[in-house]
Amino acid sequence: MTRNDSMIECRNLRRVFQRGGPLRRGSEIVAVGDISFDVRPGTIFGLLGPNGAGKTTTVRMLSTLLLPTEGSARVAGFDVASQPREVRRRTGLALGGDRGLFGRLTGEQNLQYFAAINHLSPREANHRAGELLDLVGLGERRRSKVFEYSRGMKQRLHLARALLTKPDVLFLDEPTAGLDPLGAFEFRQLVSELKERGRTILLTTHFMLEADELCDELIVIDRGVVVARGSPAAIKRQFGSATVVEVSLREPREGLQASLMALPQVQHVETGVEGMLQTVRVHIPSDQDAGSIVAHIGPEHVDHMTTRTSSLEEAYLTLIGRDQ
Amino acid sequence: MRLVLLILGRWGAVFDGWIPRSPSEESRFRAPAGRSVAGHLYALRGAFLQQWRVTASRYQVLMVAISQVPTAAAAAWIARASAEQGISLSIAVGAAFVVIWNVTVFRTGFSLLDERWAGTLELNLLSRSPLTLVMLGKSLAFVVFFALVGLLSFAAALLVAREIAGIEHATAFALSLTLVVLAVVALQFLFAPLSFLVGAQGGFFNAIMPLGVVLSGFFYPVSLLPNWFEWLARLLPTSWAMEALVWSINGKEDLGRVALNWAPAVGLLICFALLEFGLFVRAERRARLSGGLTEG
Amino acid sequence: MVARVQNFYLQAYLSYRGLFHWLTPFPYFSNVVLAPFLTLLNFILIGRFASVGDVDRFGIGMVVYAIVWIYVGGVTQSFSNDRSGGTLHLLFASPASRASAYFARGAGHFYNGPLTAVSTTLLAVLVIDLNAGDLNYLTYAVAIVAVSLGILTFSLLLGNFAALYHDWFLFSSIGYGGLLGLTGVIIPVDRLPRALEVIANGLPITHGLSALRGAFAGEPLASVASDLLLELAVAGAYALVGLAVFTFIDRAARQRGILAGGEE
Repeated sequence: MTRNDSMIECRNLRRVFQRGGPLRRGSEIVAVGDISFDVRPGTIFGLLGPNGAGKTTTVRMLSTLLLPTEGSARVAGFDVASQPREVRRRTGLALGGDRGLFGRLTGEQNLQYFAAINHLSPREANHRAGELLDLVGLGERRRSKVFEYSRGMKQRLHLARALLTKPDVLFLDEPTAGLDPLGAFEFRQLVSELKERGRTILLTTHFMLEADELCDELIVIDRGVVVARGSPAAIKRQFGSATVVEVSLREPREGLQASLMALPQVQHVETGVEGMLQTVRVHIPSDQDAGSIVAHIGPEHVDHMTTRTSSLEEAYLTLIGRDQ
Repeated sequence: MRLVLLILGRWGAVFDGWIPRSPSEESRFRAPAGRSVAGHLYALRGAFLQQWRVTASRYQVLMVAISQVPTAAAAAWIARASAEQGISLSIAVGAAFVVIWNVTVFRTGFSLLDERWAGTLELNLLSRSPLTLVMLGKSLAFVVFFALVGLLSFAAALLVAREIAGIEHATAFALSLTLVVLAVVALQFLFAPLSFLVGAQGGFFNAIMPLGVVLSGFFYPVSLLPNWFEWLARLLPTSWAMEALVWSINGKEDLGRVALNWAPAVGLLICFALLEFGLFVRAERRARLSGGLTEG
Repeated sequence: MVARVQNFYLQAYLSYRGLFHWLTPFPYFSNVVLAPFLTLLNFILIGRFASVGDVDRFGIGMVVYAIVWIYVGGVTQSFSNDRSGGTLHLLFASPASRASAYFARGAGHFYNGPLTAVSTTLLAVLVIDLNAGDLNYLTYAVAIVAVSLGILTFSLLLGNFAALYHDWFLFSSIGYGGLLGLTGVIIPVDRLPRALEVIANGLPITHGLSALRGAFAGEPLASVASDLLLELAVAGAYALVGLAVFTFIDRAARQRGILAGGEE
């Protein structure tokens, strides 16, 4: 355990990749700029951010697969750079996707292999594989080749593999990416169960809903830096404080988006076309008056207007400064 | 039973019973705290089984036999014309080793890169045993399986040569044979970290394979090689061990001379093992520094 | 006509660059120069170890086998990559001439054959004293080109199966093994069992290799003309059969979806 009783303690973590080959040095890519956080034992901590934000790189550093360029991190009380073996004994890693499994082996054989290289005896490996396959709902498909598994089944097998050594800390990287809604729901239930059993879980995701449902605390990262942190409720309060003013214009107006963005109270502007009408969606803090937006556009140009509270998704996109 | 499975070509099932089946009760297992010899042996066996299950198939036997048996037959046909004693047998034994070498250097050589492509390399790295040991288990699976295929080449060569000569020094033959096997394991294993470190691409091993055959002297003593080829060959444990093997078959040298060849073979084996461990550590370090554990 | 030639050239160039994965410096050098020479050295030394008289016989055989090495592996690999990359489907969906597309897939590889044969000959002469004192250069050149054509059309035929079964390794192995064992490269064709001798006469190399042996013995072109013509006839036969198979695959792919599911 770390000095302040955190299970994971991450201080000013930074990771820079060098482009080019062994003979030619290319430009640098900053995957993680400066990330600090603490994770309390027995909680689920989320790293939320869009693709390319630096979530996976952070997980790879914490699971000892990648050395940090700067900063430090301790997991279960051990330094990830200088004590990798100690960290590995206490952690389990589940990377999402189709890779990381032997497709021509059965689910059971995959687990037996990963158990063996983690020093479980054949008997223990067999026990563990059996109970974990039952736990993740793959008991009946244990003898099927993994290439016959669906994406969701592979994801559950990844989780079973990560649990083989009964780790104190579990790293789950985008565990529901690519799953259908039912599969994702079932997976989230599984993760909640694991928390109930006392595991500390670090979860990366780009799904706001997932972070909201599972995480006790989370940080939002974008382009390698933390842009928000706190409990999902606190972040929702921060995110949910925006009002969206949706205005339909009688005729298109050039330069409107830029002039709206210049207003001090405006956080974000999207424009679009619905039928014959130009639409403008303006995000403003909830304590601001929507009338100021209409006044700026000119009431004579407005066909109709509605206001609503921004969704979590919109607020999240606003926070990280992008729209889709 | 395992012999029956082998004969029936059910390669994948040969080792299946090695892991006992037991009811799925809640285990009281807790991951072992330290590193133990038993733990490393479990890892070695687990890696061996995994690779065996993936590799062992009738298709692999067929494919390797099609590409390798003609070489053995051609070499044996040349030996058939020879009046010298024991040539056919030594060529037949060499043909088996050519199969093992040609196939395993390619498979083992690309093993780290293949695991990286499959996304399993980083999971192997998280193992409690060194990456070297895990990959050695997989490499041994290649060697054992393709040794079985190598026996086909051996048989084909003897069939073409139509001569089964006696072995002059049987004990020395057995010892030399063991040394050649170990030397081949050591030599081909070198290419797992090496090809990873140099970023080998398709076709990389097409020259390495015949170079290994020539320098190891699988078909002839390396003293027949042009000078500078022989110097290179003398740096490999296989060349010394193979030379001892050939002498123990044809009896051209006495037992003392045969035994003298074992010393450099063993010495070089140890050097190769140390070099390989160092290269694996370097590969792992480079991967952790550069993020080269994954394809994407 | 000029446009057709240009189109053929472009297809040959682009399919070669796009589908031939050994086309990077070390793998290319290793396949064209090193591997064939080392294989030749191996058989010459087996001959010397066995104290067989004329070991140059094996050397000349392996000069031709060098062409097998580069063509069979390269062409079957290209066809298999064509399928796994999903580009073969696009070809079948286009109005392009099938004959042009088929032969273009081999044309890009063509120059590798003579190149590897010449480099292997040179290295054999320089390093292990292959006797080329009486070599008739014209006969040598024509024999190498004829044998190259034979092996290339044979490789194209194997390439069809490599694409169809999505397995270049198996079909290149068949090519390597079959041509080494049956065409007189090491074992003379007349020493093979009768049935195999018949097969050997229908394979590339068999007749062209006789012509090449004549070239090393100093024989003029005219005296080996019949062997060369037979070699070219075999090459022509494989070209036609291969094109027919390619056309069949094209039709079956559309009618029965036989290539479906092979892309990566």
